[in-house]
Amino acid sequence: MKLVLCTLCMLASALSAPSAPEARAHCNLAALTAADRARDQQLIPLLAGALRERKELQDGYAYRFDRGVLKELGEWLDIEAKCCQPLSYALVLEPQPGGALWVHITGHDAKEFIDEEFAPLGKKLAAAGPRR
Amino acid sequence: MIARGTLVVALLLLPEHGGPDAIRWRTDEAAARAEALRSGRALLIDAWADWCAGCKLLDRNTWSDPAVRKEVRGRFVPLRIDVSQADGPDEARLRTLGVEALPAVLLCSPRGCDRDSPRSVGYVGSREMLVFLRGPPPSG
Repeated sequence: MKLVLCTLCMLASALSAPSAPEARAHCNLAALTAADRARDQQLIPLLAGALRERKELQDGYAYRFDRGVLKELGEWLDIEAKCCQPLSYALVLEPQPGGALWVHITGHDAKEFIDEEFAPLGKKLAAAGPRR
Repeated sequence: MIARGTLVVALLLLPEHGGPDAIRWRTDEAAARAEALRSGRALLIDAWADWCAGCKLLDRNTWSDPAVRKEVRGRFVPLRIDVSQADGPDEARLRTLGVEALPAVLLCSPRGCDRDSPRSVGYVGSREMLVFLRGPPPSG
């Protein structure tokens, strides 16, 4: 009984504990070269123009893009994943032809960070209507 | 005229203008260190950049919190090192302190910082920040 209570206490403590420092969302200072940064600045407006929808997920957001930017999206994710850590990036191309192109960006205790970090992407979407 | 003056004062007190209790970040490290030595207060370094989402969240949610502001005002000389421009001397300075990710908040003795200075890396809300600020004081 004591062991069960102790285990429960440890579990509760682990669940309520703040994120471990190494697990918190952060921007890697040295990850990007000048070329990466310049390319990132080129890609953001292009991708923002192709963003069609943003959906809230439990631990992040899903962004739906025009199918035509798949290549640029892959390139951009490669840059972002070097800088914004420790997040998960999932590129989803639904069955073709016609299936949607999604990027899921998620992370433990990082939803607010993801919202802020990728806000430039959703500016046009936000201006077009209520935020999704 | 009085109404206009009142409006200006009211605008200055709004949170986005910082307000009277806003943390007054120093930007000159040598001057901040001298001030820390004079006052006997620890140095609080906020490694910041305009491209850093976590830094903006800290500004909006954490550094704006009255309890955090009070703690900082009472015990620290706050210094912000802005590395918005890549590869500048400030970025090199942060590297000497072992800072590899932003946002990073360091607690330093009045004599200065080193790679062992206590730090908080990544975005934290005001509750966690207060725990960090009230933690063991920096040695040295």
